[in-house]
Formats: sequence, C-alpha cells, structure tokens
Amino acid sequence: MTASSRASERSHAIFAIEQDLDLTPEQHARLDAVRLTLEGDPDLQPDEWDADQVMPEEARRRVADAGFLGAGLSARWGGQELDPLSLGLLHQEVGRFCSSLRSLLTVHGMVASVIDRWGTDSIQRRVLPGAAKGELILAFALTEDGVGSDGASVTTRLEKAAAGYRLTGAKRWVTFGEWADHVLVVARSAEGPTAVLVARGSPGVEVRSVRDLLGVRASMTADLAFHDVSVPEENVMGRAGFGFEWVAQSALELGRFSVAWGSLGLAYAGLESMVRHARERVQFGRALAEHQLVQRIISRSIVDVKAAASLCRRAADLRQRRHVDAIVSTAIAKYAAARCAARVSQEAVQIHGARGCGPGSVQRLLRDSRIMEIIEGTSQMHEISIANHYTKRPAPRRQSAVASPMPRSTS
Amino acid sequence: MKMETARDVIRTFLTDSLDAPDLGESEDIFAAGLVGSMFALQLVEFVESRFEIEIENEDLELENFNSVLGIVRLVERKRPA
Repeated sequence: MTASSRASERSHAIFAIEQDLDLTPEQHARLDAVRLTLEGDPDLQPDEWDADQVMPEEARRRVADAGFLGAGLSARWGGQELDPLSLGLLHQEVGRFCSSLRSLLTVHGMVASVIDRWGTDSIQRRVLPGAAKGELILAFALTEDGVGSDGASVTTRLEKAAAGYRLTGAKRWVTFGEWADHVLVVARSAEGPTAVLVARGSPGVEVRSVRDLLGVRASMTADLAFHDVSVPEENVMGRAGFGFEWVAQSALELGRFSVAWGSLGLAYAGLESMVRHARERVQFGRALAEHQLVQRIISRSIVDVKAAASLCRRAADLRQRRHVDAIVSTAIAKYAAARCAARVSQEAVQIHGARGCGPGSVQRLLRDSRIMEIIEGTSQMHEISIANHYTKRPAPRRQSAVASPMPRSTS
Repeated sequence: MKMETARDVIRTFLTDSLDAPDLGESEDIFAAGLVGSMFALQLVEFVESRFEIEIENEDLELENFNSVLGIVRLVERKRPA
C-alpha cells in the first residue's frame, strides 16, 4: 500500500467514522454494503460517465440489484421500506459517489412514492413491483419552457376524451427522461393542475436528449413532448385538480429530502478530497495543510459540512416521528446542504489549484453542486418558504406539535 | 381537566400554522388566501398522524380540507367510533 493510498483511506475514515456515530448495527451494515457496492466496483467510474455524458446500463443494473431503487418503497411492492435516516444515508453515499446516479434514485423514488400514495390499485400493481426491482424506471415532468418555480401554472393540457384524457404540451429538463418507462406529468385539466402517469411508449410521446449541461451530466436528461397522447382515467394520481399542491408537492418534498442528503454526500466528497490533497501536497517545504490560510479553508468547510449533516439528521428524525415540522425541516436541510455543497466544492477546487480544474478532478463536484441549488426548489424559493414558516405563525407555540395520536374517545 | 376535542386540536393547528387567530370555523382557508403551496402537504400529514387515519383518493375534495369544520367532519367520518 502506498503512502498516498493510506492517507486517502485515513482522510475518508475520519469523516466516515464521525458521521456514522449513533447508527444501529443494521444501519452500519447497510451503509458498509452501500459503500462496497459503489466504491468496490472498478467498473463504476463517475468521472468517465461525466465526460461521456452517459450513464451506462451497467450502473443501473448494479444499483437495481443492490435494491437502491426500491429503498424507500413499501415492502408490499418489494421495496426495502427504509427508515428516513437509512434512506438519507443511502442518498448521501450515492451522492458522495456520483450526483447523476443519486438523481436517478431521487426522481425514481419520488414518482414511486406518489404512485404508492395516490395511484389507483391497478396502476400500483402494474408499476410498483417493477419499479422496486429497478426493472421499470420512473421520471417526473413538471418544468416547462415558461414554468419553473411557479409549478402550479403549468400549461401542458389534459383534456377529457371519450375514454380518459388527451395530453398535449411539452416538458423540459426531465431527469432520466431518456430512460423512463413511465413519467409523472403535471398538466392542466378543466379541474386545475392534474398529475397523470404517462407510459413512455404511448403513441405521441417524443423524447429528445439534452446534453452539455453544466452539472449532473450523466443524468440522461431529456425534453419531452406530448402530441395528443391518450391517457387512461386510472392514470390520474389523486384526483383531477389536486395535481400540484397535493400530489406534485408530495413528490417534491421527498425530492428535497433526497437532494439534501445527496448534497451532503457531495460536500463530504469535496471535503475528503480537499483534506487528502492538503496533507499530501507540499509547497514551500510544508504540506498545504500546515499553511494557515489553507487551514482556514479546511476548518470552515468542516464546520459547514457538520452543520449540514446535523440539519439532515434533524429532518430525518422529524420525518421518522411524523412531526408537523418535518416538512420545513427538510426544506431547511436541503437549503443548507445545497449551499454547503456549493461552497465546499468551490473550496476543494481552490485547494487543488490547477489540478482541480483538470479532467477527472473535483471540478465535477463543483459543477454538480450548482445544480443542487436549483433543483427541487431554488435556494431563493427556500428562503421565502422558510421565512414564511417562521414569520407567519405565533411564537412561542402554544403546545408541542409532536404528532402523538389522539385517543379515539376525545373526538 | 377538560379533554381536548378533535375540533380543538384542528382549530389550534390551523390558527397556529396559518397565523389566523380569528379564523372562523367555516371560513375557507384556501379561498381566503391563507395557505402557502406546501400547506396542503402539511395538513395531510397532520390529519393522518394525529388522528391515525389514511387520506385516500376519494377524500380529495376541497370541502374536506378547507375549513375547521370540514376537517372535523372528515376526521369523524374516517375514524371508527
């Protein structure tokens, strides 16, 4: 073993051990298995995927075989039904490895959860067993050319037809839209925003690859067009008119949880690489890590990552307890972790100097981190919703908002 | 000590969450513009976890969620006596 590979293992271990504190033996074992699946496989090369702008099918098979694509899904469909912390740690580890691959877990899991929650029995039976195994891939289509943060204003039309509906319009930036077998489309019907599941193979569905993105370049992103596509009535999720605030928001809420943890993983990757390089690189007769201005960068990054990790843990804890503040805590965690990923990956490039700007370097983390502050709600939308949550309600709260169920006799 | 009723719990949740201490029991919280885009989600989570019921597709009617009384009726209908 070379000195540099030992140093590499040590710097990884410092942060790995600290973040793994308080985990149950089962959570530890699962985390080790996740790391082994990703890092123990020489065929999985995120830098190559980034350079080629393609996610290989092999990567999909590996994560599907490892159960990552059914991780959050109910056991009755063959999912692992992981607790929120375990699910977060999975997304953290995949995010540490490759944000494009993590985004597959994100969008697939978001749509699977919507189908599990709001889908009809026949759609659930048809789609969810395959989705849990990763044999069917699911994607989410909300954004349009003229609609970004203001998701309730979608213009894609869903019109009543003799049998079910007809769908017409165009969606942009659909993550893994190229791979998706089914796409959850948020459209506008006579009743208002309506979410429908559209089979990619339906006549009239057009898929155009999008390449040369700034980050998550292996996320098989596509623009989708729907030309008078026939959609059966049973493919409506929830009810017509409830597609945005009730259905799409439930998907986005899980998406924020995933992106929060994935961003934290990205930040860990930047921090580990930064520390490793600062220990090994010698300038002016001393390791970079012994130069005070470099120490400042490292210490700020460590504190930043630990703060984001605490907020992600908090979000998982409130989610586990079904606390009413779980939603705002997830928004806070996503906002903090995405900003942390952006700052730490920028500093990682700075510490690496010219090497950080070259191919196969921390530059991938920097580019991917920019996407984290945009997807699943921009940082600016989060600033609005977080501020509103705390300024538009009385303080202090009159009673604990812990969601302990009421005894039935008191109604 | 007086037992807290479902109506009390629901009213407190809405008045606190929406910063609307004078909220009328029949007042439409959606029509009154009191509700942000993430509130529906929070409301479903609150109703399900607090009253141990499951909101299903057929429950998605605005009148089941748009007022204190609407939510009380929904909860009473969904909970076994």
